[in-house]
Amino acid sequence: MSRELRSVTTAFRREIKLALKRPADIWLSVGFAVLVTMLFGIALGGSPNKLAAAGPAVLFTTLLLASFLAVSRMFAEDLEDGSLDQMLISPSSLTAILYGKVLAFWCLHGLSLVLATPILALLLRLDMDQLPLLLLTCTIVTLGLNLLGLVGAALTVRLRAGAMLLALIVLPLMVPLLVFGLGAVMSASQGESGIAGLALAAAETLLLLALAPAAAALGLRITSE
Amino acid sequence: MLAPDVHLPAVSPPAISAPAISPLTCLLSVTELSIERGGFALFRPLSFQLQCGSVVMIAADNGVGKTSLLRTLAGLASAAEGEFQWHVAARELRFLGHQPGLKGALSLLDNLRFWLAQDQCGWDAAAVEAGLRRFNLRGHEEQPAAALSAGQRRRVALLRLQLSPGQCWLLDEPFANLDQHGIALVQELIATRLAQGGSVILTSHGQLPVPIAVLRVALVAV
Repeated sequence: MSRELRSVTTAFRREIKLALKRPADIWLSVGFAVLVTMLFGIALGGSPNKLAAAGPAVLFTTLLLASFLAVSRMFAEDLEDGSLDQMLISPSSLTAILYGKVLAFWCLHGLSLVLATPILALLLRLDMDQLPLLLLTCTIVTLGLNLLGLVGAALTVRLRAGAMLLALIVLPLMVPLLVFGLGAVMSASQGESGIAGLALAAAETLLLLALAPAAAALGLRITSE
Repeated sequence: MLAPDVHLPAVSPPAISAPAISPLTCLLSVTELSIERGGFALFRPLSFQLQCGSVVMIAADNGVGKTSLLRTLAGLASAAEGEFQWHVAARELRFLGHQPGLKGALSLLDNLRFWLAQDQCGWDAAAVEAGLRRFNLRGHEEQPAAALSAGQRRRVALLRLQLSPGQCWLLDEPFANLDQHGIALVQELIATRLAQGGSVILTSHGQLPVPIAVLRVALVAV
């Protein structure tokens, strides 16, 4: 196994272990997503027609907000306990460590949101025939969202008003993923194939997968003081 | 032009029979370096050289910028003016700051395993076992790092230094939080490192608790 790959897997294992010591963090983002969906349901008056029309939009907005909230403290603890300094000076590639970190983050936070999607879809009375497409789209979109969040979190970790600035930086960048994912589900609900939106979301996610960890590593270096 | 504040060591560093400024033995040269915080220079421009097999002690009172200087040399912060040049690869540097970089939720061994892997250093169970005994950490292996005392966390960080020795160590107040035994351990670690051709830069606000031959570099507040 190459050095970089070993750095990725050790960082991945460590993050998973850490997160499993505190499963509450994961439940919080799932709980947040369910709660926001329920709020929308109540605000829309609970009428099935309205819900079905607004459903996919609500679902993806909820995913976006839940992903954003989870990602905002990604480096906060590393900064407090000195791990961030050690990561920066480590002989291992910082990008490799960040790959491990973001993939572990997605496996826990992203995939738990994907697993909660059927519940959200039920709450929003979405067409259950589309569930496989919905799950696939959510899987791709959450990975993309987490990668974007990684870059934002790296840029804002040392700022006092970091969370607000992170929102301003990252939320606009998340719009294309929102549009592509929503496009896939919407066109499927109108009887079309939805593959176009799915392919675009997948293309963006792949691009982010190639670039985001390196960008985040650069962000951590230039903001280190 | 301000003169750099370099005092010659009272005790000469361990014998390295090379000329003082030879490019082969000079690991780091610092030229007229100054650091700013919030637009104010922290100390007068500083110049010194770190030779192979020697210790540089950066001495100053609190708030003059010892930690900032060390972080700058480690590449963790930027310098305002002047320059410094490492003559060793960045991968040979080890930095030990106030926070040892341990995850409170993970056990001592998990923390150690992670950092040794990131240091590209293999896991030698016998060496780890001996190190744990030497650093008085036996029996705490499975304890979460959050349950260790500040001194014990410091010892874990020192154990990592022993197990994955880079050529040059940057130690921020290495004697803080340690008891007499810990202080003696740090002294031994540094002596071993020097004997193997490494170098150490450490910070302190006064006298070192143990005799180590150092090149004393005093930071003078502006």
